[in-house]
Amino acid sequence: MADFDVAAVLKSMAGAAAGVLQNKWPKVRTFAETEFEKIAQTVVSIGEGMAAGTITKEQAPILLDMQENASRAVLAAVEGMTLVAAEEAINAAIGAVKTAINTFVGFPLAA
Amino acid sequence: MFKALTRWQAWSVLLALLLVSSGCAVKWTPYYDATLDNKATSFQQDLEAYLTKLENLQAPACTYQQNLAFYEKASGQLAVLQTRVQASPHNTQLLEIIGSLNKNFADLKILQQNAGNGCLNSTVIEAARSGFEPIFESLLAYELALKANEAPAMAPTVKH
Repeated sequence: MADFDVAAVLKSMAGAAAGVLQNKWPKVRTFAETEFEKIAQTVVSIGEGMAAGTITKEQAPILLDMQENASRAVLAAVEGMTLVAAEEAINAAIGAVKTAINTFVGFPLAA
Repeated sequence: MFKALTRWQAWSVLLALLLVSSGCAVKWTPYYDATLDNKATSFQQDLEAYLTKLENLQAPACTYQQNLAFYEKASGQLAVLQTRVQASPHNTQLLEIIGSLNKNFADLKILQQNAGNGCLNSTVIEAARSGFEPIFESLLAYELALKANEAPAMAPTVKH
């Protein structure tokens, strides 16, 4: 029976988790930055519309509220997608341990 | 074989072994919901078609009173989205996204009601449209992330 190499398993878990997060986080960050940029542009447009008289003082706070709601949705999606990435990382780490245990015992104990 | 373990390492190994021995994978997020995905896209199409139509209408066809049918249908579509999300496990983020969609829909309704017998101009309609787009994109991006995360056998069967 092979030795149970704790250091190698820990390294494998960390590597699996880091690999998943490295792949996911840039995608989440790009999405968030793109959406917030759009929202900021719309807020500027609302200000310009007020100055030009195409948006009234009554309409402006409602339109700004809509942008605030949109921002909340973007933040919620980012939070959700980060959770998905964290979940993948943890499950990848557990998968690494299963592989190590199966190698250790010499048969597929952990499915 | 466990010699020279630090306390942190020992606890990490124990935790990992407990997780493995219980045969569990962690699940902190909702299952991907194809029906929610499709219905959200359908609602987005209807809303976009309505806003585009509104840009080209003259009074009185552009007024809230003349477009009650859209608001009634859209309210029904939103209620379906809300129900599906409420029934989903780990739904905190989805509830926030659908809540934002509901609020923006209510805001659009107020804008049009406040316009009375007049029409919303194209600047206002465009600003309103820009308030909806990030919400739909957030919902779809999140659903796609959930879909990519999910092994086909994990999701429960959903009857359409």
